[in-house]
Amino acid sequence: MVVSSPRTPDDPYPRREEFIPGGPPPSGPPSDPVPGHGRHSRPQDPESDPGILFAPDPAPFTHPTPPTRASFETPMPPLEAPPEPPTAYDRYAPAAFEPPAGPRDASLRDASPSNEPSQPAPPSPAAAVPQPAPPSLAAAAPPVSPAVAPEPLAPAQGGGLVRDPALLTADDLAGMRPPEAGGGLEQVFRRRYLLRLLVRRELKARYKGSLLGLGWSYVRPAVHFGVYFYIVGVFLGVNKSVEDFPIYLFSGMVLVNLFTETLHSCTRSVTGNAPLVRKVFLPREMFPAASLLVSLVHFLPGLGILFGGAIAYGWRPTPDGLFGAAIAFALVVSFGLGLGLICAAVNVFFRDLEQVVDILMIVITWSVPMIYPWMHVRSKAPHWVLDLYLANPLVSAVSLFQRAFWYPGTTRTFVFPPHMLDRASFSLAASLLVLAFGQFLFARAQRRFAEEL
Amino acid sequence: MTGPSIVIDSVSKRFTLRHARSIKEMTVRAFRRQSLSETFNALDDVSMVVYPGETVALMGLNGSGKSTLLKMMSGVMRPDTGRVLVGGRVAGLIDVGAGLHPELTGRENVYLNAAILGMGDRETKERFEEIVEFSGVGRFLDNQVKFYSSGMFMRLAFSIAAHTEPDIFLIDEVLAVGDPPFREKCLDRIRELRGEGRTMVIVAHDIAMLTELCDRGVMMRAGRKIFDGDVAEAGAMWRTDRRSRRALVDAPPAAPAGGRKEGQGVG
Repeated sequence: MVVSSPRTPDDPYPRREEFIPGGPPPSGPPSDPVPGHGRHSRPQDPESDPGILFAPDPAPFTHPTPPTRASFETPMPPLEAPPEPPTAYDRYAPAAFEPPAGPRDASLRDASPSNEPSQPAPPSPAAAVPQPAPPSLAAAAPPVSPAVAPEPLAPAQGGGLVRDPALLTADDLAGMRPPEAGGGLEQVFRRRYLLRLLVRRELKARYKGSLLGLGWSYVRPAVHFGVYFYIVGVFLGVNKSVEDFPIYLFSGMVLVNLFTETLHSCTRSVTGNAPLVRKVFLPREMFPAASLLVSLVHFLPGLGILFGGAIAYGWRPTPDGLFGAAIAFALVVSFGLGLGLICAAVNVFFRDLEQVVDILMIVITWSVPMIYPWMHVRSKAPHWVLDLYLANPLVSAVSLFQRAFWYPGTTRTFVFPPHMLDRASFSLAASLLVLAFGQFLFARAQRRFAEEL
Repeated sequence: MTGPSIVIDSVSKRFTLRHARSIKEMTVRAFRRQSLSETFNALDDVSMVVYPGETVALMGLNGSGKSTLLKMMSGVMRPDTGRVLVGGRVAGLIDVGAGLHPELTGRENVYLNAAILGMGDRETKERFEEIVEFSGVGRFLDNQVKFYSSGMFMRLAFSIAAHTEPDIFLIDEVLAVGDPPFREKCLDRIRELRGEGRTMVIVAHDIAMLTELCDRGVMMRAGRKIFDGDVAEAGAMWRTDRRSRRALVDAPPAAPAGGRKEGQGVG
């Protein structure tokens, strides 16, 4: 390949004419690297040397070249005068600097004083190595060609520090761990403080700069409620067939909202925190877990309003009702988090899932007996549809919530789906399995999060 | 004698570059018989052992795998083969701004980012003054971070990270931030941490700074470690690499002697 450099092909100096007024530098012939070029060390300033592991270099040398050009190599010289940085030219300096002949080479300098070099080391393979090609060669086959040079580092032993990982004993590795250190939901629990801050960040950041602030979290369900109540309740007449319809509607709604919001925000939790996932290691389960907690924070005021409304309609708590509600709540949380973990992981690889989940929100809202009573399904749909309908864990959960917060306040003529508690318990077990599977899948998938995002 | 601080044991990492992500793109490419994806080795059998108290400079041109290696150390990425082990708490200054949330105030961000880097509530409170003092954003502490200038943003981020007291510090290109006085302050802080015997791995393109700051240089080229040893030596190799890359860039239009201009920038 023709090299268009104005200078000789093997001239390793910068092609800036103005910097090289004096022709070839005082040091040796540039194209003729000495065999020991790879072994010299820069002079160590005892002040700046950390001195923790390395003894001061035994064979300091002085720079044969005036270091003025070094400043052209660096865009910004340090403010205070540090030890003059050696320049690239050092490598071409005369053979005068013989390798400082450590037991291995300069790179493996050892802290132990017994390694004080006394005679020059025989030329080792390390000496012959990493001579990067001069511009001409590199231009022909850029960074690859010099890379075939053999590894300059040989393992160092002899009472010093082991530099080859293959030679480390189990004893050396005691107490060391992979940097990602487990992860999983139990790690999330261990870093509760961070989780709390992440939840707070989520809540603060979402409504920052808006006048209503957290108030917006009330507006959306309120509008939903109003629409359902007037369209379905009043215009379509469900109001008449279902006693205390507002409470019926709202008791289902708080739970369904909890589920849909968890699923929605979990799905986006990892992709939405892409900068963090890419740059900092955290247990990645943090993000779905924080999403779940944010949903719970939004759920609590809804539950409070439900209590108030139910009491106003003459509701009094019943033990079995509250027990059922607890099961329903556990069911929704574990099912939501389990599905959320799965969706969060899959969404990293296929962003399509966000769209799918958004559409699912609509289906979920209408596929539970929240806006209408379940008997409509029984009377209008074939039997297998009803079976399928009742197999939905959310149907059981919503029904249990209604039995807890709405049913006791009515004349108690409403008939709930059969075997509701059995179904719910079974669903709870199933959703715990979903949660376990979600965690497993998430843990596997998160290994590739950083490169996929 | 203490064991190593970081062990990189024959680590390889292969990335897959997807050319097509949607079904439409995939069919078009399949129809034209173009490949759907290709792989390249970001890291190829890299091994190294770092001991407590060492300050290691990772050098190499863009795309040589330094940052990938750093991400392996921090746990953000996992090796395909080989293993990475660390002893002690790791804090990555890998793009320090990542943990800052633009909508939160500086104060809130200090707590959040410190927690992300592994500090507890009390620990953060104890160091809070110090962090704010160091960053010099005191007056704007209760403003949202999105209104900060980019310099203030990075200063705050660096200050938090530099006060988290980790055992292992991973620093990637963050020293390019800020004005010279702040940069000098950062360097002082790094020297201070180094003096406390913490392990440091630094990636930067400012070779003069690296040679001054570090006592060991690791030179990477095309995903392989080609040199591990004296930092000045590694720096010299880096300069040669850069020159050869520039020569490659400049070569094609065979220009007559002299009169050629080239950018002085780094990397």
